[in-house]
Amino acid sequence: MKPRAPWLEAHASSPAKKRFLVTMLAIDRTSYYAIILAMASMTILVTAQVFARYVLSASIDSADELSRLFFVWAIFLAIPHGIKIGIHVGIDVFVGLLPRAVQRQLARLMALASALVMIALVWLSLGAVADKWQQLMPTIPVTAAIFYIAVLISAGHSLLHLIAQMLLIEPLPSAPAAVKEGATS
Amino acid sequence: MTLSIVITFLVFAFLRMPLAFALGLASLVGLFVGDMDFSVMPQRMMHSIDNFPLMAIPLFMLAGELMVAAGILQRLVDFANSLIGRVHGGLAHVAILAGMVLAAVSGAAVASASALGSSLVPSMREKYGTGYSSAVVASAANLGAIIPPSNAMIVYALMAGSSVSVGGLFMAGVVPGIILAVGFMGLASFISAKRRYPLTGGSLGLKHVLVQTWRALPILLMPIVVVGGIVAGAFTATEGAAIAVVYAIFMGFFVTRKLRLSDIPKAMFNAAVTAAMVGALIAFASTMTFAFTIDLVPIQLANWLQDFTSDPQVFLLLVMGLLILVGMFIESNAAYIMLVPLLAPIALAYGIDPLLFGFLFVMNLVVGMMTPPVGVLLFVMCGISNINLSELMKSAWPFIVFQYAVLAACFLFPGIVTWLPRALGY
Repeated sequence: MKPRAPWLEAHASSPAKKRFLVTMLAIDRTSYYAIILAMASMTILVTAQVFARYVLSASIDSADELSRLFFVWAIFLAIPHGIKIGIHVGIDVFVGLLPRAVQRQLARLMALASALVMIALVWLSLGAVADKWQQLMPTIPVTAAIFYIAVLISAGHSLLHLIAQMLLIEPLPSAPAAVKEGATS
Repeated sequence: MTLSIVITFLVFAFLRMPLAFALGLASLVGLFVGDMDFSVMPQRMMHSIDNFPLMAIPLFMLAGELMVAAGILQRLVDFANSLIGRVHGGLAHVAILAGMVLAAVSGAAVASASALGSSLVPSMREKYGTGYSSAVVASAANLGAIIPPSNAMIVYALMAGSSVSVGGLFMAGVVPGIILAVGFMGLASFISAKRRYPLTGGSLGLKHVLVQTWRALPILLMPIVVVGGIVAGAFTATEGAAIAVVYAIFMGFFVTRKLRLSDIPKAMFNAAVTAAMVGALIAFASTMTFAFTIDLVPIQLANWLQDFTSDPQVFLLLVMGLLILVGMFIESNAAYIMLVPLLAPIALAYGIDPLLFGFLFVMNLVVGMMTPPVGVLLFVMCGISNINLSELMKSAWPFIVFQYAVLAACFLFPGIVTWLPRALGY
């Protein structure tokens, strides 16, 4: 992952926007390393469990639970990156028939609607974190809320990307090519 | 509540809101209309992802990414070329054979299309033209979701609950996958001979074949080890996928020696982001599925269908028609996640073999990936080959028709699908 996106200068028309984008890049970078760590840990744990079972005739008690935890973190942390690059699929057969300017406004509107979903999810997952805080995971002495923290971070990070797309300070992946470059029609 | 969910989802989905978030919005609206506790949403999302079998998807994707980074494709192409390069449509056969083996490694059609397309289309288009080359590669890549391991089948088995096993579905795909591959090769030969395409590849030599087979052997052994282990019950699909990752890393470092340490983080990130697309759909759809269950939608739908017809064959035909229609507009993973929990229990109530139903469900949507107007694979190939859809369709239609013919054959002669898994005890 490159430290600076090529579109940063083009989209950051004011110091506030530039600060916002720089902060976003720092969050993206941190999240990138966290995803790699989670994926690597998940792979190592699952493989180690097979190795332990067949070679050592033993079992790692917490391997299943820990690997699921890393998986949950990897998936939820990766969702905002998917928003950034536009990997989340949608139906564009009908929208594609509309004029480009309308497509751009519609894409911004859908970013707003998606942002509202994320706001609700931030609020609801905060409640879930508070609710589960006292509860421990079955095999390791760590709060069960750790699963929900991944949802909370994912929703918050996704919200930032959706706001950036809505305000056109980050390219809109669901809009036509010309729109992505910042064209007005 | 159900009506509000369906209407909200359809309106926002057709306005090009990402399907996962449209499902989330529709679920929130449904919870509000149904006066239900909103806290079920993060709980359902978490429980749907906190699932051991689902981990197989990013791991198989990672294995595929690492195998490509390790340079296995060139070895596969050299191996296939040594066997079958010197016949009409030789390079097309190479693409199909390489696609078949790649399918047995990565389990994903779009990933296979990207890998095959970027490495084979440039040399194929010099001999065959861009349209035909792209059509062959797209068809070869489509084997990815049929030949085990298949990410589509993992998602299906997960959504269908305990009625069908991943191993059983994997085995159900073997015979139809081979029929498809052989049929594609037959079509490629016929079209190449008819269009008088030039012969490619060197003449067949035993020594050359043996050398290339030896070089490709570690790659060919991988699906045998991984899928064989899953089918034999030595490990689960998720464990098999993790072993595939370790195998790919070992191959890349010690056999092909083309994998660099710096390739691994990138492959891990790519696999996670691609899997997150499926993960987001599963997570956001889980609240909707929960609301449907509260509203007794599966039971009402089952009653309505059984009032309409008591014939399992008619039900199957209706479902296949619905899936063809759905596959034209909705990405296949979204279709599995939304429709399998509704339709799989009804198929069981009709007494339809769950393996047959599961396979037909998957294959319908797989063929949908090559059917316009949405056909994800067609658009991937258009992007890779830089051609327009109509030019691609001129060459792709015989391959699409053949896939529908195999689908019809599996419906009419279920033994094609069920024989192998039954013989292996599934």
